[in-house]
Amino acid sequence: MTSSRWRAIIYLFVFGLVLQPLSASSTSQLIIKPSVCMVKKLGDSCRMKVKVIWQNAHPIDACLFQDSLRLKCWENTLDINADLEISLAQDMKFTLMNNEKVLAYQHIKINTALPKKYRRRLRADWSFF
Amino acid sequence: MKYYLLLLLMFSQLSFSNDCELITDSCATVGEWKFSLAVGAGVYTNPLHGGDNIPLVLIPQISYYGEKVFFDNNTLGYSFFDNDQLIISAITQLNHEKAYFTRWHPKNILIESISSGDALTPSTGETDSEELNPPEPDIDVNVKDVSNRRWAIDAGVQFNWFINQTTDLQAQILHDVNNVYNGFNAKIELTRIMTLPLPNTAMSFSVGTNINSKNLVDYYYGISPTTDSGEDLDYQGKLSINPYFRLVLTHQLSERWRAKLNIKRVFLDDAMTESPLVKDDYINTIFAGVTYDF
Repeated sequence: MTSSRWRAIIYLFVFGLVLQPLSASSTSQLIIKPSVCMVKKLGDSCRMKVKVIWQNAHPIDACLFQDSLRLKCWENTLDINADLEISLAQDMKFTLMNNEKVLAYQHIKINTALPKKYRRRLRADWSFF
Repeated sequence: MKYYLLLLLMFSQLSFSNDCELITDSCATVGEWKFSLAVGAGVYTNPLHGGDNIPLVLIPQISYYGEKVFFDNNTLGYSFFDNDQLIISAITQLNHEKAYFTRWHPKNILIESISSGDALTPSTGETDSEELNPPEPDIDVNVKDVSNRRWAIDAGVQFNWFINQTTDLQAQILHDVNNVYNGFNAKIELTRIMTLPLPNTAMSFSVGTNINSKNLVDYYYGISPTTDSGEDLDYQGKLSINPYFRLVLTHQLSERWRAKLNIKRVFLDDAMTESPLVKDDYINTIFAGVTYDF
């Protein structure tokens, strides 16, 4: 075996090592759109329809959780493209899980539609002195 | 002429934005704490005999304004009436009279004679008056009489009348709630905010008066009769009216840094200056430095 063949084998081996983890983790990022829910004022609960998108390299069972609450499950699925109705009262983490294994997650934030409120100060600047 | 110019400056139409759509020195964000620290050099003079002036070097300021509740440095309040021009609040705050006595050293209680000799004995101008009227010995005030002043906590009502976009009138009447002096104090203050023909620079000018009831003046500045030095040394407080003015000049250096100049002078009423404990007829506050808003 010539040295060039050895070199080729080594390259293939290294290339294979590099590719292996990539193919094993070929699940995509979880996308939930929109990722921000608008409320009139802070403390209001928010209800909205979102699109959930996720892909995997091979079929898998997966469940979507809102914090610890299970929202929906898919069996033996390669990709998820679903519309869901969600409601939340505060910023929340949405997690896609396979049994106990976390496949992907995304945060949904709550924003207030109203701008900050201001009021007149009732004490003059440096009035203590 | 100079008074005319001052008045002209005070009532010029240059002014800040009137409403509270932005955070300024006159406005606060509802529901947020505001903390700032001033660093500089200044002094808060102590009008008492033997009282040290209070140096002003590091001055923290903290405030919170909710929809109704507010906390602004030493004042806690609840606004129970609020319309566009008038806000009425129940407030409680620490009375600051005791502060002068905390910078007062009991060892320095030798007070210049308060006998009326200086005033009543005419100086001939030809003879050495000290020979005829040798200085009377300093009189020792009973330490217990003057060093045990307590901090008072006041509570009462505050009115804020926003006359127009840049002028407001504040009035308050308070009574101590922890039975320290068992009296009243009140304040009326008119403040005008002005922009100056300099970029990012604003000035507020206040004139006002503090009114202290007889009981308050008597508690802090009165002296019980003592015969320690063989002479009577007593003073009974009277109602005092102490007018003042304050000037605050602010120059915004960056988003969080501001240069600040604060000048205040309180003119003490005779009802206070006649007290043997008091040596000055004024209280000055001067500070120059920078503030950082966190």
